[in-house]
Amino acid sequence: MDALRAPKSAPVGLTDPPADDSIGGPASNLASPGGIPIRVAISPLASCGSAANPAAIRLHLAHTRLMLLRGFDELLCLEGLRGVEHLPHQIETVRKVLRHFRGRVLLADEVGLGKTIEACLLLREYLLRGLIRRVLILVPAPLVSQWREELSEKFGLEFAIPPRTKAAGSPEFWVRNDLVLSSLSFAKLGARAQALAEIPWDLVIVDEAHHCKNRTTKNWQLINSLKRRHMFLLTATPVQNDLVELYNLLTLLEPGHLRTEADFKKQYVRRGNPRDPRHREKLRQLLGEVMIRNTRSLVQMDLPPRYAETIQAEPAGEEQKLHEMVQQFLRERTAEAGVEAKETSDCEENGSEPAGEAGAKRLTRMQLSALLAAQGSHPQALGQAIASYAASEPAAAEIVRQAERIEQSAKDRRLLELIAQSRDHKLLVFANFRRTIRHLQSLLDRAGVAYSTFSGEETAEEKDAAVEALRDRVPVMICSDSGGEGRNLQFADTVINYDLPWNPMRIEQRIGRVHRIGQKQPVFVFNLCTAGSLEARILSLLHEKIRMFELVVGEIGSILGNLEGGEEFDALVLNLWLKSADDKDLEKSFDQLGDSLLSAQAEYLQAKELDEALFGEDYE
Amino acid sequence: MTASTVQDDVKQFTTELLEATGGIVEWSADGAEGTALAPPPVAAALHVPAESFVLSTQPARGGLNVSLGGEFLDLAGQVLQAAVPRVAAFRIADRYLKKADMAEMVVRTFSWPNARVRVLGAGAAMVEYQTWHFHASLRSEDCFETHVSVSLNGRSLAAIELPDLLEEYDLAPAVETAGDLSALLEQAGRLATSRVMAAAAPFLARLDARLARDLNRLKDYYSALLKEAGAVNRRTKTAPTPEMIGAKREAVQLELRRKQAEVRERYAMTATLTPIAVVRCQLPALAMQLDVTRKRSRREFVVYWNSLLKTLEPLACERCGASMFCVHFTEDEVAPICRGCWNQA
Repeated sequence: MDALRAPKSAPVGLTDPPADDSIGGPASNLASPGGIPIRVAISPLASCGSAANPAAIRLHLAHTRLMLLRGFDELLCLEGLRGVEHLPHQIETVRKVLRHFRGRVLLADEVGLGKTIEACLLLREYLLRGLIRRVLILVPAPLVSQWREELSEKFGLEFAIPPRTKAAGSPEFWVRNDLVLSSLSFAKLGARAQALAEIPWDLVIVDEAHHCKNRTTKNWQLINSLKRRHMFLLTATPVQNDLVELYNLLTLLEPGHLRTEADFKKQYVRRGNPRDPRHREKLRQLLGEVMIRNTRSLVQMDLPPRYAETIQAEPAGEEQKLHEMVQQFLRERTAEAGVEAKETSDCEENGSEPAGEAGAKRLTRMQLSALLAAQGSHPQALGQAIASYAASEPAAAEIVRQAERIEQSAKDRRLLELIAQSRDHKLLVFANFRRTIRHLQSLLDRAGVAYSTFSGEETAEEKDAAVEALRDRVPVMICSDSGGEGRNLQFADTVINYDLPWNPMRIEQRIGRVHRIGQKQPVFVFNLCTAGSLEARILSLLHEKIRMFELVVGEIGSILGNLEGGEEFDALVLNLWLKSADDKDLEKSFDQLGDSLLSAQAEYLQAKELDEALFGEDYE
Repeated sequence: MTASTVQDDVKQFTTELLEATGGIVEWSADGAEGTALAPPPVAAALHVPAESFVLSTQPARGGLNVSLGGEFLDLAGQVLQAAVPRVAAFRIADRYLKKADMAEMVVRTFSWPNARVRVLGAGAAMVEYQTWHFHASLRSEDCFETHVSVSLNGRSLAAIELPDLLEEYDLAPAVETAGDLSALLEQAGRLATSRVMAAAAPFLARLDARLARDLNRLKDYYSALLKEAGAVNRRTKTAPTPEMIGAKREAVQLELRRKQAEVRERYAMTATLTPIAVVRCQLPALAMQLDVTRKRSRREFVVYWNSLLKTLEPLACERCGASMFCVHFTEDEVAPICRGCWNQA
């Protein structure tokens, strides 16, 4: 046999294979990387004999796997998510709720930490395990569409929204649909509340649950009346004015957990100051059994600041004329024929078709808002949107011709200036309309600006290539609203809203593409709008009145949730336009909406301050 | 994984469990319900009133609710423990064994820094391999649970990455099994522990972060108290004497240390490994005798060529049990140790 010898010159250890060569190690005196001691105990084999039977072994292994599944150590909900960036604290919360809270919990994370994601992960986990079937989600009206989209697009869950007809008052709709999403304000009224209360639900989720703080309100009474096995209450501000509100919320979850109201007041509320708790530690301990609150300081999630600027472009000449023509066309048409109240979306029941000439000319709300939004986007988008009316209406045909005359709009010029000033930055330019995106592509081509495009029209490979190009080569990526969701775009630091969605939650989603965990630089947001447009008014409300662009992620949702009335923000905007006879009227209406937003914000801020004082930064 | 696959898994497990313990199961066409007949002791252990009973995926009166919720899995665990063996012994009689000169392969596979190695000879042998399945849990403020399995050579005690032995086509009942299982439990447990630690890394990191946060809180609080030690008494408006300040500071520091110790105690973890099942399998292997000389010491080792993996197996560290292809030695004798133990030595 040959003698085998390691080279003499090689020092000991130099020829070592990689460290992962070793399997195993000392089992005693273990410690975590941070130094927590770990005592290891190995149980003896509890044997009941031996057999040459593979099935017996597989049976034991299957049992162990099922036990682990039951113990929620392996979460099923994380597989197959689309564009959900779940964070460690959210996973920990999900496990905690599954293991210790038995499906009844007040999720009171600070704003922006992802209560909705936590609730949806929990919902999905319960559904996948077959532990629940019938689910009711109640949210403030302005958040219904946001919830519906997230449930569908990210979690693959299709929820039915009750029709705004009498059908919603009969139990049939609620029995027929296992997964229902409704606004709380809609659900609590009339026969619907009774219908809802008669049907058993496996899980009820209430978003912005502080609206159920008062026992004498219909909100509280509706939730209390529901037959439910599990319930998640979501709010960042469980206490708005006094501690009894917290008592009321927790009584919805676990009646008797804080005993009677009189007992609670006696034990935990300081006389003369209903906001100041007595026996704070004991109260915290009790709350800890039914409430989870993650704070920014606990999860170490502080983002760099963001700065916003609104850039108003002054239209002139042909462009100015176009805007006047569109306003006149829409005003005349709505004054003459009115607006179809019913939508043809799947959440509404189709009514009978309007008859006569007026009926034929009547626009639906959806059509009207699409035309107004296209006007706010770009003349070419407007031209395309209005083209379908051109055959029957000469005024529409004239608008289309006028739109075609405009090659470069005032916003285009401001955009090019902005891009020229933003050297060394990576820019996302958002536009809502495909036609606008195509126009932007040719605008940048002509200006010699390198860009990539990320929209619904690109394939998955093209989208990957667009992100890669933005990271490595080009300064600009043109995005549609769906652009880049769930992608890591934190290397970009500037968002340009070429046009503006009317729903503030969508605006926040756009900004959230870059202002998210992992962002190291301050983020700049530029909002382009045409002076005098609806978008300019919305921006003035959101930017100047409530400083939306400087709020923490998620706060806008809480503020909108405090708005009175049961409508989404974009519907509110359309209503204001419809109710106003002219621009002056519209300005006045927007001022009133601004005041409502300000009081909703004040309400939120007051509650936030109180809750921070009450629970502290390190509540757990 | 979907709800239906989890439910299907539970149903399949139920069927197999009852059939393995002498029962019969029949599921309805839609799969939501079934009927079962089980021997009286099994029926009693499953808390059903009669030998014939209804199976249901939803809670049903008088029947057995087979789902992840409820007590079914706990009861099934008791039935398994009482009636289904956890150890299975097999034999694979015939597999190809390499016949070529192995010296070259030994050179390529192992490294022996500062030692001289000779292959003395090689011969076929039947070697018992064992695959141990463990349920592992880490408990502290929170809990982490998982399933790990390790396979090892019953002679060399080295961990081997074997395929699932139960899937081998020529598996046959073992003629006889020799050796005490508990002798290998320690080594299997040791190897499994290190896998659990790797799997639990994110969990450990979370607990570390929580402990650090709690310790920082304590530090901040007691630092504030220390700062106040020299403050003027508001009521009497007198400043404390240096002795009083010193005594107060000492007391605060003592209290801080005590609280820190309490917190550390609270976070201390216990890792428990419980064997779920053991598969023993005798396999043909090629055993090679090596002669290793280091300085004036000399020792013979056996390394194995595995007929399932068709490769040489590692050696086991004589100190910690880790598998290794790079064999270090202690200074005094030819005791093979892994790089980690060598660094510590």
